[in-house]
Amino acid sequence: MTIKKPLATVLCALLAAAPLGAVHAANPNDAQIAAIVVAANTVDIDAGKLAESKTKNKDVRAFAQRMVADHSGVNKQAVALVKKLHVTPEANDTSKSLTQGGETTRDRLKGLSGHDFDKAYVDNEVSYHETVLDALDKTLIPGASNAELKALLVKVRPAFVAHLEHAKHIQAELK
Amino acid sequence: MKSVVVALGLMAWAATAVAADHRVVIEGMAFTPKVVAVKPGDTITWVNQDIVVHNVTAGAAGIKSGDLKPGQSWRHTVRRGVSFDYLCSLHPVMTGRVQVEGEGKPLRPARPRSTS
Repeated sequence: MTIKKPLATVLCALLAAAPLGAVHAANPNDAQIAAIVVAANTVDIDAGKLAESKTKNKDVRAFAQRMVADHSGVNKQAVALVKKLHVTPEANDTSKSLTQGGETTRDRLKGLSGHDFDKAYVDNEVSYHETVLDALDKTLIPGASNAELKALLVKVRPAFVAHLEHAKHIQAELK
Repeated sequence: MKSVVVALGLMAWAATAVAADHRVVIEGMAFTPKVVAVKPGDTITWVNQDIVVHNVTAGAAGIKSGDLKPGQSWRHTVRRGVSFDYLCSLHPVMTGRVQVEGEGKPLRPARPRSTS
């Protein structure tokens, strides 16, 4: 039996390191998708910045720096596109939950240090990228109606795949 | 003397004439083509058409492009007949290979010598 949950609930749960369920399409419109993309990237940028300041592991630090740089780049392109399309990102339950979940995760990570911090950060990065990929495939890409927005999401997808592989590699090293 | 200069000039022209230009596109977190077959003297241009910064790095072969922002490219002339594997050091899952025709073993990182 598959338990279906709204996208917002799943992404929020993900960022709070709760068990994940299947992603149910919430049918967001383009303005809402834009807000979700920006929120998702911002959450990982903020987590990366925290990791940069806390970790002493060079691989974790390099990964965190890469997350900050890459997701900042993606957000820059997303913001440029919505401006070009005259679309105003529309906050919605999913984007709000992402932001709130990100804060919860960062609060939890702030209480950890050393190997515990590294492991929790990287574990969360694996879950985060897996679930955002799932959301891209099942909700965001199919749901985007503007061709340029859809193309940007398709172009962004490989970065999430590469980040996931990278995170899994570090995760294996930390065990 | 004049004929020697002319001959050398012709040889240089001939070498330039046969050198080929190759293009490797960086897009979708991948190098395409993943393996590029070249001859010594050929030029390879890596073009970053992706949405994030990448680089071309092969420590053992002394290859280091530095950061390539989206839209930037980097050109390298293959001077030695030795193949090498490379990667984007920012995204280590991205790998590629330059296969040089008519060469021996590829360059690999040197192994520490045993002192015993």
